[in-house]
Amino acid sequence: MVRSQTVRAFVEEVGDIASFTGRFFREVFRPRYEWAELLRQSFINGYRSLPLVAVTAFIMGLVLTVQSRPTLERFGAESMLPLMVAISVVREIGPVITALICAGKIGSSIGAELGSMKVTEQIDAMEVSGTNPFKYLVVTRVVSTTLMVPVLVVFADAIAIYASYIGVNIKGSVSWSLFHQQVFDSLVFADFLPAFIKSFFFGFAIGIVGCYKGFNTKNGTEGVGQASHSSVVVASLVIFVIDLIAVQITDILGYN
Amino acid sequence: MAEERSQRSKLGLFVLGGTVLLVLALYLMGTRKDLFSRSITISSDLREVGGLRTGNNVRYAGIDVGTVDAIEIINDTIVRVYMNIRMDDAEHIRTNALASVGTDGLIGNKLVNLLSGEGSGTPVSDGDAIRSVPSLDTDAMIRTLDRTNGNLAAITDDLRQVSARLNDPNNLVGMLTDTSMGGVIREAVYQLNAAAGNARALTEGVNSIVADVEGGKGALGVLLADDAAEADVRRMLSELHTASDTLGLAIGRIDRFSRSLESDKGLVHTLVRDTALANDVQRMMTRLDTTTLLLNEDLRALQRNWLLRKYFKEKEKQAK
Repeated sequence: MVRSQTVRAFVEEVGDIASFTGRFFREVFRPRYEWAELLRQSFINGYRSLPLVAVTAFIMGLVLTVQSRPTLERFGAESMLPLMVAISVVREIGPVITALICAGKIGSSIGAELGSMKVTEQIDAMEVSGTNPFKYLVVTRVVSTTLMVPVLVVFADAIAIYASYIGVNIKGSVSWSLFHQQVFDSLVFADFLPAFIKSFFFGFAIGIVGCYKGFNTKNGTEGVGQASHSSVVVASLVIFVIDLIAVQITDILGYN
Repeated sequence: MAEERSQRSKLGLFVLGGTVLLVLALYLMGTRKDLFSRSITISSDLREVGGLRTGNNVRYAGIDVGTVDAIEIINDTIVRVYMNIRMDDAEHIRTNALASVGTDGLIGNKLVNLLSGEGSGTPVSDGDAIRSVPSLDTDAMIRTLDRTNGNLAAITDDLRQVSARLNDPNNLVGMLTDTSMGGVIREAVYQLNAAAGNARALTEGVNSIVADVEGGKGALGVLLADDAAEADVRRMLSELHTASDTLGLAIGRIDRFSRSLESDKGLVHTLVRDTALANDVQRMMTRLDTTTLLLNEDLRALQRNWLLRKYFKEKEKQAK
């Protein structure tokens, strides 16, 4: 009985999110456009997330390089360290780790902010005052996360590759020129573009899940925390699902 | 308001930074794939490309000069590889160059190696086709290596057996290591030398005889060299042949005669084999002898008879 209720609740929530997403696509192309709010959200979600993403990417690139070295040394393929790290970062680790960081920072922020507005009836007040709260609050946030996460991914890739250069030089000696040559000799558009395109979907998922959870907050202040927490969990899960679908599609298209 | 402008500036820098990085990354990747440089396209037909993909590097004399543009299956035995070659490098590649598929290092990406061909050729131009040579296939090399290892194992096993036999004092090699064998072999060699001298002398004698025969000397030489003698011999052989036929007939007759002698019928058998008849004949002959003596006396007496005296006297006169 409990299980059937859980399954039913899950299915209902999936339906609600799909309905919420449909409403977003209906609202996003309709005027009036909230440019100022979109820029403000982009600043918050993009620019202010950069330090966290940069530190994470730097550590990720450095650790990946240092951890991969012993295995490659065993095969006598130490010289392939730059290209291996570059391909790993660009194809998978950069987009996914950045998206997860954003899901933690941005998703929880959106969920908590919209949740608190919901429980304090500010959203209802906006409707009464004639402002479309969905357009002002949801569309701007979802569009900003959709556009900012790919930019953060590009920064993360660049920083992680630079960190990899430092990691390679901790135990070896490779010039920046050679490192740069090896990295870009190994990378092709098929490595970069699918990963870049899927980062838009990651950003969209973070924004839409955070907004949905915040917009549907119940149970007062307790629900705000719950919305914040569940938006991170669901967004992270959706990121992995999108990644799974993306890798299948790129494989079908022959880019793997 | 000032804060909002500051936020916009920072956001602009952030987005511009990301865009610049994105464009730079795309440009660097595109440069590696010769998307932004002038290039020509050449092609080469290969039997198989071993996993070569579009975008793989093309190398000439160990230097990257372009990338693989497209790979097309022409028929069941030919795969055509189109290569973009940078214009600056194309002038060094001749039309007699050879293309082969290789690997960047042992486990690296596949690439096309362009090798200088023999003789002279003109620099390649757009649309040219160059010849190809079969590439080294790692799988084939490993298969060959595996077969070689098997052969080596067999050879090593044989060598081990040979070594064991070499160490055995009872075999030939063991005998050779015996110090007394030297004298024996030396004596054998002396004997062989003497035998060879004899054989040489014998051969010389045979040669001399053969020379004499060829020169028509001696009986054999005459037989072999003289035409008249040959005719005589042929005739003699012919007569011998006739004589042998006659002899054969005679032998046949004698055989039949002897058989008839063996037979218990007929007069001859009776004469030859019948001992009673022989006794009778002997007795008869004895009697005949006696009778003849008596008859002689009678005849002498008859000659003196007067009736016949005249006849005998006339016969004496005729005889005179």
